[in-house]
Amino acid sequence: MEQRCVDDARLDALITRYSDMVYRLAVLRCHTKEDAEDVYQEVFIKLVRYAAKLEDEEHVKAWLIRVTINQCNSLYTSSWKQRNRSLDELHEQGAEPAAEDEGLTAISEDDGILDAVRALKPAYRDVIYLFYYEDMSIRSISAALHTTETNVKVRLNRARNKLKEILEKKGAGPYGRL
Amino acid sequence: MEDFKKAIDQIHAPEDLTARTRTRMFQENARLRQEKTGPALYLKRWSRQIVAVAACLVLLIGGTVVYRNTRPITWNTLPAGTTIVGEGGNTGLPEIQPALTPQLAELYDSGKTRKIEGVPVVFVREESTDVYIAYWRDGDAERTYVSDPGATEKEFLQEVRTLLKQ
Repeated sequence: MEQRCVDDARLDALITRYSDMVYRLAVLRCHTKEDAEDVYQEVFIKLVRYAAKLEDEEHVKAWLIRVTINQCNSLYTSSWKQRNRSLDELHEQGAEPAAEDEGLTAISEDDGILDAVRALKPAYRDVIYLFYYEDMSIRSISAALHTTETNVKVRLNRARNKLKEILEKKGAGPYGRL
Repeated sequence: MEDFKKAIDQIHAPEDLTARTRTRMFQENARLRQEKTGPALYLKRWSRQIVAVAACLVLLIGGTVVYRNTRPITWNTLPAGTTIVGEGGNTGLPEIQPALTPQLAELYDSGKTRKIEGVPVVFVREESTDVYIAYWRDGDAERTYVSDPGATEKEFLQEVRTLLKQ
């Protein structure tokens, strides 16, 4: 018999455990808080449908990371989103939406390391977050992002260089600890 | 990266968002639980397959019935159990095959059935020498030889009509 739903208790445990991780990843990826919240909800609703197929905790974590990233991507590739951009979003980006494509958006003097990371390309943000914050190994990251370990290493290296560049522009930063 | 970690540490999913999401998750889970699962789900799928197979059977049977009612009746496709009444064998009729007109030959060779006086008649040529017709009357098959193989089709059919009226 195909099991298609799980206990509420397990779902409760999953959302308690991974709530912050999904939200943080969404915040790093999305332009606005509202978008991050939308992504967060969608990811966990999807989890309800797929939780029965996810065998262990590592699998669940990798699945959540993958789905969160995909959900963020699809949010900004939807035709509605491409045509409509919020004022907050434009303000955050200094009304220079094209800058993000180059991996460097305008950040104010008051912004900290977090905004420097958010100024990176989404692909670089992901590896920085997963490697430095989630303490995931290169192998785990490559599995979660469905890419090769070499690609993860390249992304990580480029992300560090970009981050250094951004922080140098800003005039301060803990470069030695990157 | 300590600063980064500290900054990330400050980010937490809002409690109201978590609560709303949790509620939606439970609702979705309850909805999934109510959906037909396992054998019931397969049965749901099977029912569609059963309907499809039944429709195919209806078409097949219907097609067969229609075909059987409209196909040409030949000597070989007489209904099973049909009793052949009468014997047109040695009736002293002349050998007819050489004198058979092209029209009649075509009629005989076609194996088609014609309804004459409301009676289906099949024209049969046996061993290329004897020609006779088979016809059905009251569920029985009868056959008889043609008396004038040199007749035109019109004359021949007239003769058959006369025969059937006897």
